[in-house]
Amino acid sequence: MLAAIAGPTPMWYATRASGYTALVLLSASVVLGILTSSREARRDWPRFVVQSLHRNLSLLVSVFLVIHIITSVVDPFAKLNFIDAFVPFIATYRPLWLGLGVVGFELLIAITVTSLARHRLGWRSWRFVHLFAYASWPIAVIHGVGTGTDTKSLWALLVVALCVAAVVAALRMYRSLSSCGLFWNLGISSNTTWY
Amino acid sequence: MARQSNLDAARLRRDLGLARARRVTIYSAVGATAFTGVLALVAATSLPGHSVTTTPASQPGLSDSGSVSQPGLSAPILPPQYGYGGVPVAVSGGS
Repeated sequence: MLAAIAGPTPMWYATRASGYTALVLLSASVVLGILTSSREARRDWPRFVVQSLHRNLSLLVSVFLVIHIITSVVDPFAKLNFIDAFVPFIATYRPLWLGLGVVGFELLIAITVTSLARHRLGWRSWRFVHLFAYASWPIAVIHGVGTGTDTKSLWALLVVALCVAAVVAALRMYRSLSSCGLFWNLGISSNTTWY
Repeated sequence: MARQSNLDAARLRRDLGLARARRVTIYSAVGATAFTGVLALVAATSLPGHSVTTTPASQPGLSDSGSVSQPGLSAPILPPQYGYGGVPVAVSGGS
């Protein structure tokens, strides 16, 4: 009886909203990455412009992911701490779904760091790590659907469905354009100038 | 001469492309921020999500985990009600 009932904090709403925004931006970045690797370019959208956008959107994803994680930790409901945000599957709140989010986040960190230092790493090492970018996207989708408070909401389903549809359409276009195997050519072209 | 003009055209295309990439990036950042605000509003109005139960930090009789240490005792819902003036009113037998 001494307990007081309080509503959700603004941090809770910011967590949910920034998570969905990060998913949308990540999907856009994946689509641009696939378009870049398809080697198709329009005159008004040369490949270096698409690559530049792909890189900038990836950095924007990192910004919104940091907001998503900080607001998740600050909000008292899930009782998360910063260790839970970096070590997967140890959180007390929905450990499996949250752990998948941590794995996806760490994959993106690895991709960002290796992309920033790719001139020192070499192309083959960078390519090996960059292939995981394509794994981080479905992991992020599963994390959002599994953890999400809003999974039952129509707007959330609509956002996730649009993201999935965009990536699937880009993959289909890539497969129709490429005569080679899919996975070993994604994001890879040895004669590409990487920014 | 023709080579110089081709070079200038290529430079112009490069500069225009970079400017376009920069512009789309700025639009994306602004749009993503606005999208986050709209989604937060939609989330707040459509499905609040959860309620947080808070307890006062230092209540006598409460342990660290917030549970009551003496299960047989509980605090009253309302404080004792007194009459006007805040003094307990004594009622006689009415004789």
